[in-house]
Amino acid sequence: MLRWQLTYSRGAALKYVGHLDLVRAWERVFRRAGVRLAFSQGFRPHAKMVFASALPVGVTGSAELLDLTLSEDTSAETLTSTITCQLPRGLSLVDIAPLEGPSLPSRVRYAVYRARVEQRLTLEDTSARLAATLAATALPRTRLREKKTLHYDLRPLIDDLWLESWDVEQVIGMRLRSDHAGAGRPDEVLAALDLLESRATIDRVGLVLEDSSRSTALPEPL
Amino acid sequence: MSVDSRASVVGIDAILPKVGKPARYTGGEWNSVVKDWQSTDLRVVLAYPDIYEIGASHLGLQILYELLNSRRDVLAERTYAPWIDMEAQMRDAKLPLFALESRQPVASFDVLGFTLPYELTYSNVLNMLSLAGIPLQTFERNDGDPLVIGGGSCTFNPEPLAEFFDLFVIGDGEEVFGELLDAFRESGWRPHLETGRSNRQRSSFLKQVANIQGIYVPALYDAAYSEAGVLTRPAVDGAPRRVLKRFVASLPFAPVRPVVPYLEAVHDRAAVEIMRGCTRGCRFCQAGVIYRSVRERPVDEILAMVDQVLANTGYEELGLMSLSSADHSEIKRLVQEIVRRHPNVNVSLPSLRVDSFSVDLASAIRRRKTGFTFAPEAGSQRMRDAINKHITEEDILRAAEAAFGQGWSLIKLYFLIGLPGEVIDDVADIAALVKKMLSIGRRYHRHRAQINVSVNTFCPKPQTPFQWAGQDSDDSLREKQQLLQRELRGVKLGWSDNRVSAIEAALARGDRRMGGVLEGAWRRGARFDAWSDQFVFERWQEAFSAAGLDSWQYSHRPRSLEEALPWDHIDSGISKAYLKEEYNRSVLGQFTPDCHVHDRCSACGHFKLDPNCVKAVKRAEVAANI
Repeated sequence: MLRWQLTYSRGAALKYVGHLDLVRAWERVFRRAGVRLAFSQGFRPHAKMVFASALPVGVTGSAELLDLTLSEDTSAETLTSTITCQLPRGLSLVDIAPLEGPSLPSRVRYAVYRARVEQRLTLEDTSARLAATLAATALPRTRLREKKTLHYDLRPLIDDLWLESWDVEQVIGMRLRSDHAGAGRPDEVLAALDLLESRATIDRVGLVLEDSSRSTALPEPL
Repeated sequence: MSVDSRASVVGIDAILPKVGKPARYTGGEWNSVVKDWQSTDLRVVLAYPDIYEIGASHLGLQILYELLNSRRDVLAERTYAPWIDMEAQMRDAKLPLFALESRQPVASFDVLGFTLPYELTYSNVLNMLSLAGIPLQTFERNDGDPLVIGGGSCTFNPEPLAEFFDLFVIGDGEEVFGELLDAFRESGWRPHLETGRSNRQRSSFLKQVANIQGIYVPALYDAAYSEAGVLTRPAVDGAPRRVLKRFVASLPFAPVRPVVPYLEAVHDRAAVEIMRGCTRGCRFCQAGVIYRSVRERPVDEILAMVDQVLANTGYEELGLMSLSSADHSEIKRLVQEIVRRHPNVNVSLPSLRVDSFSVDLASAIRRRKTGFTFAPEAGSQRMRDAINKHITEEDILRAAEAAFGQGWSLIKLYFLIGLPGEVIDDVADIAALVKKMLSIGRRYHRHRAQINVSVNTFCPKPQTPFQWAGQDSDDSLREKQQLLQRELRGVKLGWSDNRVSAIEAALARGDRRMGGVLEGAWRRGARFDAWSDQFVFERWQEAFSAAGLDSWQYSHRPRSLEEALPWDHIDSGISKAYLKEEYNRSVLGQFTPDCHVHDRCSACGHFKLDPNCVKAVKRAEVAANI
């Protein structure tokens, strides 16, 4: 097999590493492991390595997807064992499977997040906030991006919100749009709910692909 | 204070989301070493007084990190200067400076070791001490505070920092750092276990190590100021009159497991030191003096290191480090072999000579021809002779022809202005030279040919033949810079801020009184002075006047050859007589050949440290024949 799909997790130790830096880190993992990636043709050849979706800085990911094209045939067992011992703290391999069909980015539709907040709110209050957000027709927001202010509507980027647990931990689930037209940011949703705090921890639980049978972990709403 | 109250993990999680590039502060990189905090006897934190992306590329710290961590009784961690936003958050949340590996406060280590790469980082050193909660002045520290030590090129005039450091390590650090830690272990003093307010152990330890070659304990010296200059001399019995630098005769095998940063560091590559030292003898160059003599690493050893470092890091780029890489006697065979073994790795050769041999060399290894860098340093032959840069205009143009001809469309040039004896015509010659090179480029690449010119203001550096020269005046420098801007329209031209250069020059040749100025500038907010958007000249001006000192006296005043210099007690191995001779030869435009290449001794005095230098070898032969 030459084409593989890796499912990996990015833990808290790496959550502040930006997407491009993570790409470079993976390239170095493969080089150390002696895994030979295929290279694109052209003036500036690059390794054939496709990430399903960039993970926002500050967010962990439990089931991130990465497509690889290798230049030499190998088995899932060999690939797993060579890669595993080269992974830095914070990266771990969840699954390796042969890849068929088109590459990932074109197939991602939604991203599912789980946000844990520390604010002590009542169940009623939180449920009301979620309901109000879902009921809104528009959620105008502004974001500072490289010194430019971006005005946009967050509402069409939210597919669903739910309360996942409220007893021991206060966890909110989100299913946000993530496709070529745009991607919702979980911290922006927390801000819209007035629940954004520096101690909040956000995990991307999984990505939902176009063909839903190939989706990674998808939690059921409460 | 109870024993463990200092040691507890610094909780930065809540502030990280509020700062830019939080990965600067989180550690956990590949090859970073996390040892057991409780059970390791000696705790060392290595500090770089600038941001992470710059410090992570520092080869000296990479060497020491790996060397120290190879000892079972030592843990070595890292810390860098937090950027402005992080500092504000830390001060706001009352969080101390911490080490990346364990996140333990810097104050809970036994040794805090700064590398001192350039003078404009000094305000960051003070800021980091303050953030760590360590008393700034050595006399204020007690047995519970870490031993604060400094190494690196700025220690060849450590006087401006004398009151802030317990000791300096002068010269190659690989052996002496180990000896220092052995002495530490035997002394039984462990700052991290001390709670009392005494400083008995600290001062007895400092007296004890002051006799190790390469260690300078500034508190054991005082300075006398008079018309005859600044005389720094021992204030107590037992302190050596002069402190001789340390010198390792052959380069140790390290590092092959450097930390691989996630953030893109300034030099995002594996670095292998192929040679240390340079004897070309450029008269402005401090590195050429303090890293003397030339020590080549054998090709087989370099190749073994290259194989290992690439396998251990996964880097896609390799830097072959030295002060003048083309001078390695087997450089051609070396690069051919590296390219054969690692065809997909991008090899870079920093610090190449200005000649076509260098171009051929680079051509053999560069896959991406992004830009070729030359440092002719001066535009006129007269000035190149004065600085002992032994190249002609013909050499330079031939090198340009070779680079443009072999596919490079961009050449980057480095020049110095304000050199001793320089007049405006010499600077006009820089412009003329650049134009000639550009017209060569046009022949090969038409309008795509590009030359970027970087013109730095000369700062006289201690321990060099130009240590007596004054910095050029602001008016004269401005006239020279304007001439270049006028003449070189259409060429990308970079130049230094003369006010920054003046502070750099003042700190470089400062004496102990400069410590007050430095502290004053820092208290007025100075930090990151090497960053043009952070440097504020007025802070330094005010600090000078508050200290009652005249900055011009330090930066611009030419010293007389007879004057006692504040750093005369620091012995680089090069004799003052040789430096004087070189200064005089500069005025006459006389060439001094490279002893390494021409096998002719220029009597620099370094033979007393290096048994392999020409003079030492000849002496040994003569002695053997008697």
